[in-house]
Formats: sequence, C-alpha cells, structure tokens
Amino acid sequence: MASPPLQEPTFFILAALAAEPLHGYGLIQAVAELSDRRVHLRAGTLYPALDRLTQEGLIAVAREEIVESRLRRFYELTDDGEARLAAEVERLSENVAAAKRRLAERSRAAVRPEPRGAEA
Amino acid sequence: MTAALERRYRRLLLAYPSTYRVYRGEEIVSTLCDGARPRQRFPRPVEALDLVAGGLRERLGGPASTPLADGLRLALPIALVLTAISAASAHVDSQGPWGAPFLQPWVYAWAVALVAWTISPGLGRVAIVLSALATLRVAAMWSWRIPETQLVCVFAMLAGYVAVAAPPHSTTVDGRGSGAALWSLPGRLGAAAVAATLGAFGAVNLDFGQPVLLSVTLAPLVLAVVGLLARSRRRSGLLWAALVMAPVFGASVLIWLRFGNFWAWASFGPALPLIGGWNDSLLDFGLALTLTAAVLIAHRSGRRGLAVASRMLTFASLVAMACVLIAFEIIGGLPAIAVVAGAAALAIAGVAAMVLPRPVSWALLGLGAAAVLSDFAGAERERSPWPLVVLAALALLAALQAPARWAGSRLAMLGWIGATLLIVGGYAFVATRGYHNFLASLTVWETPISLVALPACALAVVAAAASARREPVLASFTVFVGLACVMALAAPMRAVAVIGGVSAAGAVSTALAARHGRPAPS
Repeated sequence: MASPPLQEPTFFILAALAAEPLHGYGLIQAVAELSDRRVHLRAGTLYPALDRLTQEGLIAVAREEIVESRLRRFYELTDDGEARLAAEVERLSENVAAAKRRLAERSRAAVRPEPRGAEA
Repeated sequence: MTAALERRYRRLLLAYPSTYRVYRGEEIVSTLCDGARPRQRFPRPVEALDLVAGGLRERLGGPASTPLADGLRLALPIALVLTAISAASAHVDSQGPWGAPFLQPWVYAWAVALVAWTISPGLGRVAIVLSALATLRVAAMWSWRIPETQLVCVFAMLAGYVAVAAPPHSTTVDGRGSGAALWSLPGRLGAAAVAATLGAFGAVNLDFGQPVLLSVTLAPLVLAVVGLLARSRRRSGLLWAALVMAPVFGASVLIWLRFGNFWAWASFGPALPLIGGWNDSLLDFGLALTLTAAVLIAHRSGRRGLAVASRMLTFASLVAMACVLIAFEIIGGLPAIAVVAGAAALAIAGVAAMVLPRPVSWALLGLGAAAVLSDFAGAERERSPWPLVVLAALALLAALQAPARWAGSRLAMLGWIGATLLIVGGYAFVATRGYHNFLASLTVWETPISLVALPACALAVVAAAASARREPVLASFTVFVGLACVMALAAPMRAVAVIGGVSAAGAVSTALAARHGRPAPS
C-alpha cells in the first residue's frame, strides 16, 4: 500500500532529522534553512506534527537535556521514518523526472511559433 | 530574552489542556525562548495567535483523541451553554411551563460545569457528574409535586448523559491512558440500556400538555444510540457533535411549531434544572458551592483518585436514582426513600473512601455527597440534625487534611474552609431555628444575602483553585460572563450587586492567588 504524499512541513521535518537528532528550536531553524526560508514552523504547528510523527513511529525522542534550566528534547528519525522519507524522495524525484520530460517536449515544440494573447 | 517574556509565554500556554502542558509545556517554552530576539519583552502577535490557536486545536481534539470524544467535547459545552441560556431566558418569563418559579443555583452549577469542561476534560467529567447529582437532588425534592413521568424523564436524561458524556479515555501525549476500566464498553452499554429503557417508558407515558418532556425523552435516546454507534474513527468530531445535537434541536423546533410554546422550545433537552422551584434558597447556593469547591479542589488532590471517585459517584447517583424511583413507586412517600437513597449514597461514598488513595479527595467528595443526601433526607424544610453531624465531621476532616495538600494556594484553602463553615453554619441554623427564620435573618434590603455572598465566595474558590492550576484568567472570565448574562436577564438590580461582588472577589482572589499561590510547575 502506497503511503499518501507527505505534507511539506512534515517532509522538511523528516529531512531535517535525517542528518542528526535535533531539538525544537534547532528543528525550526533547520527546516527554514532546508526550505530556503519558505517554511517557517511555529510551536503551534511544530508540536502537533511531532506528536503525530511520534505516534506513527516515524520519529522518536533521542534524548533530553537540561540546558540553563530549560528542557530540550531531541528527536531522531526511526528506521520507519527513514524508509518513509526515502519513499517520499523517490516519489518526488519520479514526479520531477516526469515533469522535466514534459517540459523538454514543450521546449522542442516551442520551436514553431504559436499565436498567443498579448496581455502581460 | 527576559524573565517577563518567559512568563508571558507560559501564560499563553494556558490555552493548552493541562495534560498536554505536563508533557510539552517546558519544551515549548524552551523552544519559544530559544527563538526570541535579544531583549524581546512581549510575545509577537503571530506567536500569540499561533499558541492560542494551537491550544484550541489541542482542546478540540488532539492527535490522540477519538472522534466521539471530540464530538462530545464540542457537544457538551454547547448543551451546557444552552442550558444556561434557557434557564436565564426562563427568568424573563417569571412563570415556568408548570407555573413554578425557577431555580437559580442550578444555573451556577451548570455554568461551573461548563467552565470546568473548558479547562480540562478530566475535570469537566467530574463536574458533569456532580451537576447531574445536583440536578438529581432537584428531582428528588420535587418528586412529590411532579408526575413520575417527568421524574423518569429526568433520570433517563441523566443516564443518557452518563452513557456518553464520560470520555472513554483521556490519553496523554506519551500514550499513557488515564485508565477508565469502568467506562469501557460494559459501563457504557449499561448506562445506555438504562437510558433507553427509561426513555422509552417516558415516551410511552408522555403527556403532550407538557411538550418539553418530548425532547427531554428523545435526548437520552439519541445520545445513547450515538454513543453505541460511534465506533468509526473516520468521522470528524464536529460531525459527531452535530449528530448528537441535531435531533434534539429538531424535536424542540417541532414542539415549538406544534404547540407554539416558545419556552418549552427554549428549555429543550438539557434544561432540566428548570423543573425546579424553591427560589432564593441559601442551601441551594450552598450545595452549588460545595459541588464547585469539591470538583476544583479534589481535582487538585489527585487525578487518579478522582477518576475512580467520579466513576463511583456516577454509579452512586444511578443507584440512588434507582432506589428513589423504586421506593417512590412502592412506598409512595419521600422520607422512606430518603433513608434508602441516603444509605446507598453513604455506602458508595464509604467504598470510594476505601478505594481512593488521597484522603483529601475522598473527604471533600464525601462532603459533597453528604450535602446531597442530607437534602434527600430533608423532605421537609425543617432539617433533621443528623446530616449536620456527618457534614461537620467530614468538614473537620477535610480542614485537618487539607493544608499540606493545598500548599500551592492559601486562598483556595481559606475560601474552602470559609465556605464549609458557612454551609455547616447554615445547616446548624436551619436544624435548630427553622428554615424560614434562617432566610429572614439573611435578608438585607429585601434581597437575600446569599445572592451576593455565596456566589462571590464560590467564585473566590473557583478563581483561587484555578489560578493554582495556572488558569486564572480563563476561569474567572468564564464564570463572570456566565453570571453576568444570567443575572442581567434575571433582575437588573440584583445583577448589579452580584456582578459587582463577583468581579471584585474574582479580581482580588486572582491577584492574591497570583502572588501567593504559584506552585512549582508540574
């Protein structure tokens, strides 16, 4: 059974955790960086996502640290999470490849001119 | 980043349910503080909005909740709000469907239940049970004046609530359920069966001259059916809420169209408190206060114990209801029933006391139960002294046990002890001097003092206990708005007095509790 496509924030969370375990704020920064500052997670969306991913077994709590009397909980990708991310990457690359092929066909077709509307 | 900012973030986190905060609270605060700008003093508007929205989403059904629980979480507050509204609207129409004056304290009891439900499902569950007990008490007081059919409908309604109102499991984020063995399928099936049987009986014997009863009868049936059918995990909570509420609305509208009785329509389904009379009674306020305080303070004393207690009290109420019903049929007089119901309630309270791990919670719950059963026993306005003995003993026990547990909130403790003394004193006065003398002695400018004093006292306890749980604003505000709506409709002059007293008490107690009673984060 194919899993449904991951939503963008979920995808970036899993991707961010692929390299190393991260805590809440680290995760927010990593996701922002990965998405070229496009996806900015806030606590109200980050933690429900972490709850859900934990429940689905895609991520797990790696360790907890108390830094300057603040609780930091680090999350890591589980084996299931890794497989899910890999499958999603595979799906996306297939999509990209398919779209690229179509674009290439279009640019070949664009050699012959076609009348189009003039509005900007 | 300043300490003030952290405090403000924590305040915003109150939007989240307390169970969620236990696991996630510190972590979220850390993340927020990590992301704060240097010397930032206030949460940014987007952050505040994000936290409040996130908290509401969590309350309306976190990832761990089932659709039925979601639906009930939405439907029950709606039902309670409508109860309060219909009770308030009944004040405008000074004569009820049966020409009886309306009872105010139940409005408070249900309003408190609503607040409690908003704050936390676990707490709200107990509040619902205790409100049901309170409503039951009204039914018992009135059983010699209203036909059995109505009584049956009342009981059916309560059983229907019980069948579905108690959330199946409140699963915390880390996957640990709070345990609800008694409320697993057999418990629900049993309560649903009671609801269906009584509801059917009520429908068969329905007197259409009192059309409100139709919806009262339909409601538990609908609730029971929905409760049993709700096995699918696919549907959204909102859909279930609509499913639960829609037939009740529909039936009520039909009644309105058929009989043209707006007040019957307005007081549909959950508006059971309306059947009561006995206006301006200090003892009713006292009972509402007892229930409020018992709910709030006992909740603080231990979740696990309270979960057991709420279940046992629910069963106690059902058993007592059955006893009342049977004895009413067989013996035909209330005093004899009072003995049966009282004995049953005491027995259950005794078992609860043995089961519960926390002395305070069972002492307080016992106090509430004693208040209820003493009113069962007191069919006449003149009270017998023996419930007083029980009450006094329990109050003393509670006062002796309490301080160590209430280290977090001195005001809650003082409010509780004061309220207890007030109630016990009230009972003592009634037992020795008679009910009417008692009321007369408490009247100032033709307004019973209880109208101002006890709600204010109740609010102080609510606010103090709530602020000890770090939810002062929410609790005070909701109680205040509820009271304001009800009282403004009831009587403008009294409204001014009560709202003034209540808001002053709320403000002072909240401020005091905020200063003294900030417990260490759990």
